[in-house]
Amino acid sequence: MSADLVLQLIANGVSVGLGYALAAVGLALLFGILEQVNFAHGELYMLAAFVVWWLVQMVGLPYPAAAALAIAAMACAGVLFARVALVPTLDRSADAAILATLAVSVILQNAVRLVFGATPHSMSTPLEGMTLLVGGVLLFGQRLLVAGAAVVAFLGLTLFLRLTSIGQAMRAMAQNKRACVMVGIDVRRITGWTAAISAALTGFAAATIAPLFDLYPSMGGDVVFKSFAVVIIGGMGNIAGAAVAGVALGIAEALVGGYLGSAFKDGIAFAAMILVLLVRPHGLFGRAVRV
Amino acid sequence: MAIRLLLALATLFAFSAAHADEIKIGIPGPVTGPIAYLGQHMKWGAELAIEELNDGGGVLGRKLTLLMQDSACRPADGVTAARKLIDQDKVDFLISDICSGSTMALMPVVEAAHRPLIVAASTLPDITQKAGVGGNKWVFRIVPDDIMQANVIAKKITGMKSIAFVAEDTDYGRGGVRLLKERMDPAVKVVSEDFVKPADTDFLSILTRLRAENPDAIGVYMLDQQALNLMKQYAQFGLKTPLVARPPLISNLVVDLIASGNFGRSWTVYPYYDQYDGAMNAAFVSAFRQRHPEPPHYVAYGAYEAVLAGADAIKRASTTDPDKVRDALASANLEQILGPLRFDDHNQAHNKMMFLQVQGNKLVLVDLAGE
Repeated sequence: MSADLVLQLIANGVSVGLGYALAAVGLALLFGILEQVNFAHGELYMLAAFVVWWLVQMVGLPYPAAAALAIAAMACAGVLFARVALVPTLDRSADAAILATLAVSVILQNAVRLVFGATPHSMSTPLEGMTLLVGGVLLFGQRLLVAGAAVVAFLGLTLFLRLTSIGQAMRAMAQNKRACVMVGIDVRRITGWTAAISAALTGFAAATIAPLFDLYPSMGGDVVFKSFAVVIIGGMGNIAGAAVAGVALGIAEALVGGYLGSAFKDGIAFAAMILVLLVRPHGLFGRAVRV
Repeated sequence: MAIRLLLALATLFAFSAAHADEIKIGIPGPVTGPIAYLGQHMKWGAELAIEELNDGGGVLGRKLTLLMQDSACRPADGVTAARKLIDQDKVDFLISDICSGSTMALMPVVEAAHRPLIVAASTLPDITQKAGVGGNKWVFRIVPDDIMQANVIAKKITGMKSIAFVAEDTDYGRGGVRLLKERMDPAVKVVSEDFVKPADTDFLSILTRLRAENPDAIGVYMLDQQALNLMKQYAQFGLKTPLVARPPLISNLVVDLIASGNFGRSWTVYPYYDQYDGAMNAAFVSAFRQRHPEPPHYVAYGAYEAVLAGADAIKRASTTDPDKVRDALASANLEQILGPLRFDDHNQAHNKMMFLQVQGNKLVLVDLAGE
């Protein structure tokens, strides 16, 4: 195999991996702050993708406007999601949150199927056909956008958590919910904020990644599988860990898919997940939000 | 309270009595999951045939009705769906699932329950080998199987120097590649084989390697939704290698991609294409187009013909008694869209297949191929 091919595979891996990280960040954030596992994560992604598709293909908005609108809509959906599923289960055992979010996922998936049907859709964006040849390595416009979006999302989230008072309250909640109540932090309000930011980030991921593939009501299931792998490998709830795990997984998959064949590709995510759980049960970088 | 309950029960019985006269056709098929798009087409095809039969007064003076249960195209769910259709809904005959794995699982179920099963989409050769003489006499297939298609594809591949395979990791994908390799010119070198999960959407690493390998052709065994992703990414890579064997070029999902002009010389072999020139097909396509936003897919055609074949058997048997309907099916001689429907002693029909090639930015029916 030539050096060009290896470079191309690594470039592919980095771009795919940043996509994995971006798709997973909302899930990591929600678990990091609230310690709630969100089984509706994939369906929130699917919903955002359908909103973008609808705005671009049906309403006729330009892609950037549609993406921005969808992210804003997802933030609102996140507040609603917190109201119906996250706040009521905040003080209950973990399975209450699992069941509540699972219910939301079933309802969302079937509602979208009812409204848009089972026929897969696809959308085109201005960057779709663009390619860039850098030193023998082929880069794709839309995938570069995904990579850029991932960097923006992670930097933005880190700064938000460090510098804003809401971000600091969120980190306080990650450390100790009871203490938050004692010092006067409104736990319900911060839960709403966390869900809104998580959903908006998921919307950001869907708006940039979904145009690469086709859209269908059960697409969330495929997204959530990789997102869980990334979050578990990186350390449940560790946001920086999710970024590193996403990119590492992308590169590993690209090399294995390129050299051994794609039948082995998905085994990588599973094998890495099992190995990490055996050796470091709290993930590579441990739990809790460290930013 | 008791009176109300009695009334409700009476209404229920009256309702079911009114429906007991209907001839019921059951489909265990994908309503959810990655094949749901094809399941929708299957349902549309069967519904159209039933509507036409009912408009003509039904069969034996009875109306026909369709019941579809979700199988998600998985064997275990397919069996559950078929059992419900047979035991609770009491269907008179069944149209089989799209995925071969699910159809294989349904075969013993219908054999035990004594219900005819018409296979209208699955193409695994084992289905035919296990059906008819010396085997399961309840299973009939109206579409060509993968061996018949592999024979045609092998002839078309002769003369190429190299080929790379990209196929779904299922009975269909692995079986298709194996059957073709057994039949094709040994001088054609196989440079690589990639089997992908049916839900995989990202083909970046495969396409990167194929670009470096540069084979004469890429042999594709994939269903519509996955092929849409493959073809989208293929176009982004700017590849010019033709896709051959069984890419679903007939699918409405890839019409826009083909129109972009990036798939010149790609070809496929399919049992059906809606542009086929024939009076019966024209009537079928135009009736379908009046009801639905897109032209009929191959599976819609299959389900349509399966309903007509089953109804014809019931008419000739003059009863819905399953044994007599089965015997009538075995002796079918019915004029259908692609010619007369007749089964061999393994209950397999032998229709012509379509060799379709992309010329410029259009898919063209080049010729009809026999075995």
